[in-house]
Amino acid sequence: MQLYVNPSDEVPIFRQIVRQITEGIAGRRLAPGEKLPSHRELAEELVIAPMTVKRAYDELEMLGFIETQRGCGTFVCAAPPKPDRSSQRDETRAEARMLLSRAYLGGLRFSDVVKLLKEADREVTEGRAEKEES
Amino acid sequence: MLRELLERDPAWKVLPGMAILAALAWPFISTQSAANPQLFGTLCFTCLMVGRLNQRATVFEAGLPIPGRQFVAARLVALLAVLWLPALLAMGETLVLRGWKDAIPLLELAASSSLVVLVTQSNRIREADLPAWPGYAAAV
Amino acid sequence: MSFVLEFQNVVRAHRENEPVVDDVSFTVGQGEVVGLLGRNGAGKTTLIRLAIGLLHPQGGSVRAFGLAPTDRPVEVKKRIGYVAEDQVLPATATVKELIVFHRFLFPEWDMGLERQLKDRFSMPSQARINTLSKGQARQVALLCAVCHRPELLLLDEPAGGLDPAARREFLETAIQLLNREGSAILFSSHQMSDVERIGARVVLIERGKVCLNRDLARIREDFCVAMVPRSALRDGAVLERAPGCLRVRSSFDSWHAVFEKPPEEVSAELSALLGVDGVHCVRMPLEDLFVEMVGGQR
Repeated sequence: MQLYVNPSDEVPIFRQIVRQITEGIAGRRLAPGEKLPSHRELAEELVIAPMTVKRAYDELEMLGFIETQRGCGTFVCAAPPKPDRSSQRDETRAEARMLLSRAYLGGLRFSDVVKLLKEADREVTEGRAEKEES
Repeated sequence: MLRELLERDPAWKVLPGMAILAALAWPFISTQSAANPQLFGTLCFTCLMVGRLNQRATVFEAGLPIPGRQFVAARLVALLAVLWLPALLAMGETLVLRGWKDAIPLLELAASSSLVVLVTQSNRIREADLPAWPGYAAAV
Repeated sequence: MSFVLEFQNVVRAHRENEPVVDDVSFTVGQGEVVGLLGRNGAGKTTLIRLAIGLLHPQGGSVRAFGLAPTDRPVEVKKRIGYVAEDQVLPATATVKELIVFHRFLFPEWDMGLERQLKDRFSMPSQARINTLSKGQARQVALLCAVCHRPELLLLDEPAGGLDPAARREFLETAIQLLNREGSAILFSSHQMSDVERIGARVVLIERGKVCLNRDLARIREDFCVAMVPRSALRDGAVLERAPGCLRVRSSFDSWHAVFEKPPEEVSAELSALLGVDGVHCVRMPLEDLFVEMVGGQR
């Protein structure tokens, strides 16, 4: 899966990587057990600091999406992290409030946000459908 | 280290030219002209410019793990060599052609130019925060 | 934990009462990449020259690897690589001669890395340095600075005057060094995207003083700028007194105030404070933060 970073983005680079990999896993573009590039490889490929890659990988590991095997490398977890429904709901609710606040401050309406959510859903699951077909 | 630095000093490149120039030109310049301050001034200036008194090199040198005093020493030796070797050559010529009295102004010229060189280089000594004694020696 | 580079209350002045560096304190840890930002003349080059031992601090102390660079220059410089925009390489030497000279000076020279960089930059070995373009000369300087595997790389506007491709190659080389050796890097630059790419922390200098010293990720997430129209507020000083405000700048018909707080919080607080509906607060990229913190008033 090809990663892309924008240094000037509002979101820090390590978080862009965390998001893209998370989306990749959710959309099955990254298969369970798939090997991820090493810190150095990804740093040299994206022309970013190795420390940034390490930070992203550390966060993904903490969230339970990837795991490091000493001497072998970093892999997508074979099994997705056990969902903790209630805390997941709380987190998603907080993120939803942040999303809506920002959207409203930016002049969007609720109906616009819903439309955008549907588009995003399509993008995330499309990746999953494609992977399952192939 | 000093030897390496000396080898690389750009002053060496002009030395052959200067030596030849001195050897050829000097016999044609009379003793009186040698005392002429304008000639003296022009000669000094040319020496120094050609010997590359370029100060900006210190920023590059700053990054190198070489003690500052070795840089200054190498520079001094090179510049003085560029001054004295042609001077000695010319003096030798004058000695042979006209006798040692006429050679004296040349000696004075070389000595004064050396002083100018030392004084201008003492600025670099200060920059490199070295002990002040070379500056005092130059003043003497 | 020992620092690779440490400035402690450093003062350096050209003349009395005109400090170029005024009570500056910050550190660079092992393997850290720190971007030094500031307007031209703010004191960045002076700080880097203090670090390499070219200048004495007139107050405070500078320590590299725990040593004072002016006391033990040779020891310190063996472990440092230095590239500056205003460096003048010996003009009449050839590239090969210069590299051989450096090989002689630094026993830990990595021949493999030298060969690799020569290939990557397509370096003309036999060319004299005064025939090279600015970009090529800078590449030679970079090669000479990294092949001895320094623990600290000091870069003073290394990308100044280079085209984007050359800048990118420069960054790639720096990252390679980071990967191989875990070197620390202190670099001053006006190229914000470069700083955002490889920098982990940013130190912003204004008129000789440190006005900001933060992780880049923190800056991205915790800082915002509030834009208050002048019609709503006559006097910017009110904003300055608001908690968390770092600087207020007037810009055309509004006040721009930098806060170290999330934008939603600031918006809510300011709306309450000023009795205005919905103050516009946004996070901003590094370049905008730079302008808001040290830019002039309009």
